[in-house]
Amino acid sequence: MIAFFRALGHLVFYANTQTNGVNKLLLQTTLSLFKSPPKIKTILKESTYLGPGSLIFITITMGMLGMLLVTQLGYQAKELIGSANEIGGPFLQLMIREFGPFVTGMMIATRSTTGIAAEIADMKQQEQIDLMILNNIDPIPQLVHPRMIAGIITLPIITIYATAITITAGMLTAQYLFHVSPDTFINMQFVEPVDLIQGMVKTTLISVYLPIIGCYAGLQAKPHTTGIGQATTRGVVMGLSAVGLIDLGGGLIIFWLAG
Amino acid sequence: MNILLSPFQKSGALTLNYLQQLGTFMIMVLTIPITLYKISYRQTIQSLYDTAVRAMPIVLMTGLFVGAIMVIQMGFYVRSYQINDAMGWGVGMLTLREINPLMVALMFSGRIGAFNCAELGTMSQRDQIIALRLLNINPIPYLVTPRLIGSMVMIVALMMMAHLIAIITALITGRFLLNLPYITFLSSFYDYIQPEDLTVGIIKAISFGAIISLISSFYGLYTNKTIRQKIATTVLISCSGIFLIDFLINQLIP
Repeated sequence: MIAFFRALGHLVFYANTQTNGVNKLLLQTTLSLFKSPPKIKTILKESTYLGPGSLIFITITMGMLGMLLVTQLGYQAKELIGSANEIGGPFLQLMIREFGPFVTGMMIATRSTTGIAAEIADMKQQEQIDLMILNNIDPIPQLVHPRMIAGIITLPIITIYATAITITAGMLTAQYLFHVSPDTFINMQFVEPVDLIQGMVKTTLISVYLPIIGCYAGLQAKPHTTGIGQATTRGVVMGLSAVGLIDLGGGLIIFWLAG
Repeated sequence: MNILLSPFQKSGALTLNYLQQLGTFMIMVLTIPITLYKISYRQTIQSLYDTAVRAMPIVLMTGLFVGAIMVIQMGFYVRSYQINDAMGWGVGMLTLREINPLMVALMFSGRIGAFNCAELGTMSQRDQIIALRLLNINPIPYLVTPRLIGSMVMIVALMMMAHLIAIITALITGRFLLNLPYITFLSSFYDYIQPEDLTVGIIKAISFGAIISLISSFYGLYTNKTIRQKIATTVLISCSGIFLIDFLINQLIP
């Protein structure tokens, strides 16, 4: 029993330390953003990695998600109501409000955050960052600024694209599996401005935090051979937890405000 | 002429490369049942222990998030239609059957898949696999099968704990956010949830655990890349595979 509470305490303490570290890095980055703006070329390079680079992955996984959600909802609706004609409205609402930002965020965390963490950990392992500090160059404008700006520009677009792909896949599944025509399926009656605002708030927060978490995990890497693996694992875990936390917090705040 | 031919050349090389990888993967998968009698018991116990201990905090946190998120999202419907009875059914059904296996598997691929791949990749990079072969130890029953058993057993055990945490969190969140009495939630949960919902979740979790450990072992041992690329490919392929298997199982068991 005592061991359980000790482990819980360690977990809470660890989570608190990491959250403080990420927020500190975010604050530092934002404050020094106006002092030394990054070059357009590096921003474009990072945007290419974050945006078009993950299109195929996002298309496959989110298409699968749409198919399986509609299959599940359709079978339940057939069992309860008798027909699957009504699933379009709740599906669109849940997609815009919840699963679009949440699952896209998780996919971005598994692909892009790990990529950023591994790249920066690699630089750290080859002592390039120490060399920068030795030459009186601040590593934050060189490494963190372009990734943060690229994330803020590209990740919302990726999320909108992913939501559209999921809805398309769901529409096609409903047409072929349950014979629901697209006109019946795309039923915007359920979607209210509150849902759109909730999705947008979650997407914005996720887009700001995920690249920063990747940079933080990379910069914390230890300079030995297992450092890259540790940094990548830490980046995945922190990214996924941050997506869950943002989703939970956003939903909770909107629930209180709307009620 | 070169410009005209180069796309064909590239696509041919790519196809051959993929086929070769697929063949290696299939040979690895088929070797596992053949060499099952040579399995290293010490490595298996070590793998069970490592997998459970490494993945436990993140999986429990997933359960916490899933329970609270499901209650909040269901809460919008429950509040607007005044259907308190549906809460236990909706949350329980979706959590046990769909969301919890999927989220636990995604977390598992990030934590255990990436770690396995890094560990085996470092071993193969430092020629430790060749050293094992020199000592007449087959690397598949010594390294791959224990990891497979470890993740297949422990993902189910951890998912059960995540279910428990998710339902307790859902109870508490519903009580404090929606003023939903505990007994309403539990009675609707008890009335509408069938044992087969849990069974479908367990089947899904076992398949996810198998695919995560097989893909991470394959990319760690048998590909010529840097560790960074190996980890990135592992996580990508595992996530796509998880979604694909989830869709297939939903089709087979409606």
